[in-house]
Amino acid sequence: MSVKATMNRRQFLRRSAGAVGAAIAGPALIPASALGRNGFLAPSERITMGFIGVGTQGGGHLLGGAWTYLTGGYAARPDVQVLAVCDVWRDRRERAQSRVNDHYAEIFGKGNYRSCESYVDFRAVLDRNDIDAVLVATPAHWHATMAVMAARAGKDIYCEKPTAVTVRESRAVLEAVRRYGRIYQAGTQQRSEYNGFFRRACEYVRSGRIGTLKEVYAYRDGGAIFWPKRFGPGQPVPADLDWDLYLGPAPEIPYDGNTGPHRFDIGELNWGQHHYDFIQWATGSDETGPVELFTADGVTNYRYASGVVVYGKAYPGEPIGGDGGAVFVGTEGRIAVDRDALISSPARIAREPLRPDEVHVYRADSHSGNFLDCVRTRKRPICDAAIAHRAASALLLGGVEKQLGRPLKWDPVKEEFPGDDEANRMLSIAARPPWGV
Amino acid sequence: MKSKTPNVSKVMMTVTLNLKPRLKAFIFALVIGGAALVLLQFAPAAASAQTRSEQQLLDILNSGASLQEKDAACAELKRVGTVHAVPALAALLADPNLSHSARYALESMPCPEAGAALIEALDGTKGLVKAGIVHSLGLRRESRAVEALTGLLGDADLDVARAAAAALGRIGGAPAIAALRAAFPYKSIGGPREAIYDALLTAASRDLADGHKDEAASIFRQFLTAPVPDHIRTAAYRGLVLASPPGRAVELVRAALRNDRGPDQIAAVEAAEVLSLPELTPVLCETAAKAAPPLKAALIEALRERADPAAAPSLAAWVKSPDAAVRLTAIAGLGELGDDTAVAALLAAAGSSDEDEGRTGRQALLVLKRGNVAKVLAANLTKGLPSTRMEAARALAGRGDEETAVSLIAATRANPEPARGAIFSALGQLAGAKDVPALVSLVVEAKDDEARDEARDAMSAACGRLEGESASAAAAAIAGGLPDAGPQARGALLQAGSVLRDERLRAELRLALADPDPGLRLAASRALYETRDPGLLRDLLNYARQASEQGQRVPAVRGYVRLVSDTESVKLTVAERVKAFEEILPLARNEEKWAVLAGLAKWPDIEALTLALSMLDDPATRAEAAQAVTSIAAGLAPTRREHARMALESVLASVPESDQRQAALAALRQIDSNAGAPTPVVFRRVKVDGAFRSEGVAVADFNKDGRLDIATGNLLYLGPDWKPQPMLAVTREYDPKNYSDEFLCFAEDIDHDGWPDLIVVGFPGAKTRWLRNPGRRGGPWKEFLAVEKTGNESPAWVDVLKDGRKELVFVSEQGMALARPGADPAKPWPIRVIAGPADPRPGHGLGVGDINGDGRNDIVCPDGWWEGPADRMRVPWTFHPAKLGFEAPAQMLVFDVNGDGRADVVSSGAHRYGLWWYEQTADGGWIPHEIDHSISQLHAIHLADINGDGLPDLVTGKRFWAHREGDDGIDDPAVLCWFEMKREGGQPSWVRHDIDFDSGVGLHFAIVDINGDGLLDIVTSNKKGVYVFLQQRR
Repeated sequence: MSVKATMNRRQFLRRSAGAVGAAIAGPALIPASALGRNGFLAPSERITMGFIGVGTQGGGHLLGGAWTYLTGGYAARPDVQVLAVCDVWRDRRERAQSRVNDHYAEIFGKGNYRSCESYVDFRAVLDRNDIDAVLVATPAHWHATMAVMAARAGKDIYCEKPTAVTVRESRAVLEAVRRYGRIYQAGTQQRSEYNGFFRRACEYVRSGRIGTLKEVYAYRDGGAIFWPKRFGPGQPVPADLDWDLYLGPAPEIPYDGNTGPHRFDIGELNWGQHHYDFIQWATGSDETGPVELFTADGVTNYRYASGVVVYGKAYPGEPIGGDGGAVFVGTEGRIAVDRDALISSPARIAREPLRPDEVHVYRADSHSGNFLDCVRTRKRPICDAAIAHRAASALLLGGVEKQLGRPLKWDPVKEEFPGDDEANRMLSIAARPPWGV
Repeated sequence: MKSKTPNVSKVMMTVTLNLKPRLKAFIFALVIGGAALVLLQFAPAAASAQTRSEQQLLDILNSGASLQEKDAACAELKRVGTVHAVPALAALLADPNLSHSARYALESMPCPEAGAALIEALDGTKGLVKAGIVHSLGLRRESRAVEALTGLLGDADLDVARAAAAALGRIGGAPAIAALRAAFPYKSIGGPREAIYDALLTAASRDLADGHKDEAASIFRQFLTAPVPDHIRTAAYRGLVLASPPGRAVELVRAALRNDRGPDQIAAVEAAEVLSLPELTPVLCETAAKAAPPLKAALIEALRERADPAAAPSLAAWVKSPDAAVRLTAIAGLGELGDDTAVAALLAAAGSSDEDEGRTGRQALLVLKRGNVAKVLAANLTKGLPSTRMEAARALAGRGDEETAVSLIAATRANPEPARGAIFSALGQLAGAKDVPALVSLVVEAKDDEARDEARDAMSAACGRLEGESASAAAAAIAGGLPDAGPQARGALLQAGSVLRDERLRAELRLALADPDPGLRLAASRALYETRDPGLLRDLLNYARQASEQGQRVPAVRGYVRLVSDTESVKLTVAERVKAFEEILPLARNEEKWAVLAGLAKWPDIEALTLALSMLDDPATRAEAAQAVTSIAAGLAPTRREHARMALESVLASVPESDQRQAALAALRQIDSNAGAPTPVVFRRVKVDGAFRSEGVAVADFNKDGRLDIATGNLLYLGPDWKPQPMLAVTREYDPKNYSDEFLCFAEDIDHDGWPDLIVVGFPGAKTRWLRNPGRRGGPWKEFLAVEKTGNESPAWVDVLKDGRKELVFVSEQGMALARPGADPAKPWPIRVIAGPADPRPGHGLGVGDINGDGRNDIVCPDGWWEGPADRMRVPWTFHPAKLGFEAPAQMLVFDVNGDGRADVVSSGAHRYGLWWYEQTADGGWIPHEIDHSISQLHAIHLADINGDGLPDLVTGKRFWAHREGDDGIDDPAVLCWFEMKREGGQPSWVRHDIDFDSGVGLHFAIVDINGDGLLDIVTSNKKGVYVFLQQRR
């Protein structure tokens, strides 16, 4: 579908949905409840959702999978109605659509439910006024652009990690979410899931149970995007694929058969945000970031204003930490945590109850559940846009250091490398029109 | 998020290689169709920017370089470009191929000339190219572009118009804002409507952030007078509240909450969450009091988020709301913002039968902190419903309110079950050394068994947390209570004290074990089983030894094993622990033996290893012992490599369980791969035939088509795709449980007709024949007898005499012999025995090479070597006895292994584990050295420089089912591998690289560049089939 044709379709949708402001449209045209979504949702009302990107990750969210912690995914939730699925691959979107509709037919009876539609262009999903929230699980280079556009369209957003591929677009997501007062949850589910291991480790570290925190071993270091343009005739684009929409903000590349989610990644872009999201949390840095970056032992490392050094590698000999986790070393003890385990040395650190006067952080026991709660009540989710922005920044600043191969200083307040023009230029990357945020 | 199994994350980890300090390459891992495909890709922009100057990059832009090179140059100029680069970049802006590339650089360059170039390019461009340029101007915040951008707001191309609006919004400032406001779409449905909304909201948000609140408020107000979509109205109303002075902001929130307009309500709630004005708290509380549930719950969440304790009384009023969302939010909020007056309400919630409410209430009690919460909770231990009392005890335990232990102790007397149980359980978590005397009293004075047991368990849990002086004090208190206690209380006290280490308690326990009161004896024995006192190890051992019944022995043995395994609280050396295990083993049943092995597995220690190895023989403990050995060996490998190896090999030699074998093999391979660098050599496996055709193979261009073919004496496989073709009238497929009639094959043009024929050595001791190539005529190959009786399992076909003709080297009935075709090749070959009548007649192991450096070939066997004479025709050759093989070897390889100028010998175990080299010393002695001990049945071994590094490598592997019983490691995987040879300072070493695990060797195979790509390939035929392994380089 060409961009022009899409616009026409959008206009058509706008008109047909009668989505002119409620103030002048008045109740006579269409009842507000049909547009639905102009106030707080009653508990009995289902949250309506669109799923953008229904491959492995998005399909797991939608229909359930090993890592989704929810049997049957969002489609099986009684508090959610999936109205749209979107993918650049025809087979993916059509399969997702039919599975959702089959499920609803089973629950509600044939023809007795609002059908889930499938779309190739996510803008058509954003144009639907009857959709409250979208879940973005597309290739990484799309995440921020889609999140910003979803916010502009008045949607709440659950966005997979990495939530951005440059610091500038990460900032743009935060600003758009705030500008429109949207609910935004980053797909860094470790704050909520895995038996509370990560939350507890964070509370122990921030309560000073290992003394003064000195070092953190992050198990992974920085990440970045690299998307060179390519020229030439390329291979024929499959009829079932919208290659242009796969590329999106990335430079024009002749079709080469690769529609992977991470084809432009450098370094730890894929998994890094899990680690840095958690480390930012546990070091109490959710509103700030590192102040220095440097290479040692072949990996990028970080120094925070508190003096804490974060090493982008494993704690020697410690197997716990690699799976999204970290090891924290303090003056009086050590904590290692990942998705499988939480251990401390001495052992009592992780054994004694957390007293009321110790640090208690935001608690959620289900990442998707927290998101949906927040959609209803408008409270900030556990991995809100500000948190996601700083976690993504930590990862991406490491990517800048990795690419430049020299130590850098960072000002987390101004969000720039002071007096370092070359490094500052690496904070953004020009997008292919018409995209760009 | 990513799935955990299989651990894709680790496969997908992107690796950075430091090729040069300043040059980096990145490995991109892509998952395609579930399989990980790793490909190496250089990142030109990232990699070479630091090595090319701006001028070099500009030269590329100004040359006829390819688009790809120019794009890469732009990407580098993004980082290093200065004002000098602007003209060349500007020239690309209108080029649809390279406009985006030029923008990489111009968008980020700080010099004003870059912005000027972008503005200038607006005129000559259109469509998406123009939209991109507009976009870059916005991101640069080029205020000089405002006029031009304003003109583009009405552009017929919506992409351009939208980009212009967005750019103006980003640039901000009065002129840009004025232009956008003038274009505010009150009515039009076409045009860049949403883009203008977004641009104005962007500009207003920036004004707000910069402190220009009035300007911001003015923009937001404009939206509220217009028919905009709901979410836009929400954004504007929210902005207006945030941009307004405090009093006005409160009014706006109040007004929005009062009216029934959804978008405004949402905006008010969201704004209220972030505004810290204290005046808002009562407004939100009052509104919430009247609001319906969805809004009410949202308002309560806002109050929670604002964290103003003034909201607590209101929250308290809603904890019993019939609406679940309101109720749960209020309970959680009360926990965060309330004080000790909230305790009763939260206890009630915690005790609720509703699961969500109970969980939320309990969580709230854990964070409640204002006022004296602990005291109020303690007071609730003795009043109200039993469920409330239980929740109070649970909350105190969860909060770690240790100071309430005294109250809890008192409350145990005032409560019947079930509250009493909960209170004791809390005591177990909170009581300290100072509370132990009171707990002792509770035990001694207990009125019933249940109360005594609960008190005992609480005391035991409390004592279990104590260390050092506190523990001593607790022990003293318990010991002090013993004299006054009756038999039952005595037993309970001893059980509780069993977690402590104390001389007096130990003595008391020993007395009680011999007490005439059977109840006390029983309790004392339980205390002994559960003790954490290593001072009682000997007692446990003796108790187990003397126990007359299993019911006493088993728990004693278990307690003993648990204590010895407990490295956290029992301080013993590993040697002491291993010794302790050895002592208990005779008393242990299988279950306890498994526990012993589980303990051993954690200690990477030679003595632990030895004990675990000793348990490999018993089928009942074999698998567990194998696990322990593997685990210990893996831990030991860094420091005691050979011990670890040998231990793992013992597992492979004696354990049939496949899981354990696999684990041991994996550990062994880990040790091997640690020994050397990874190799770029990989092989692609081609299965040519799945049937058992022969155990030897020859490669030659049998059909003279210029491609190499494979012959097995049974089937011929024609290159290049190795299509099978029969050689005999009847093609034979053998049963792998038996043997074929084709053991070794050699290609040779026996009848000199220009077509390679095939020599086939059959079953050991049986005949060798040759098959005549039918040439162009085709048809079956005719068989001719060569040697009637061919002894030895590794005959060779080599030019032993160096006269230009090859001989079959084998053992005849008269001893070591050579044979080659006579004048009439159709007749049996003349045999020349070269050995003396008393010389060995080896059944295994043969090799040819110059042992003594006289330039002539000698012949080696496991028992020595025959010296090739100066006069080729003279027999017998002189035999020199020497031990050149441990077990029955296969081919024996003669070459200078350590580079000292003297020939050495390599031989293998054709039916056993092991591969060795025999070093020839200056005085003609031989010193054996082990190369490997991980593979058995190495019944074929050849020498070739696989990796082309100038050193000969060994290619070998397992002959699958060489014998089906009696051999070592019969069920090991059928490995084919090569041992990469390295040599440093005269020290040879080898690194094992596995090629395949399901074919192995046979008696003889071919190493040849079969596909003509310059790399040596391997061709095998054996009981698993016929295979080609094509070498490739990573």
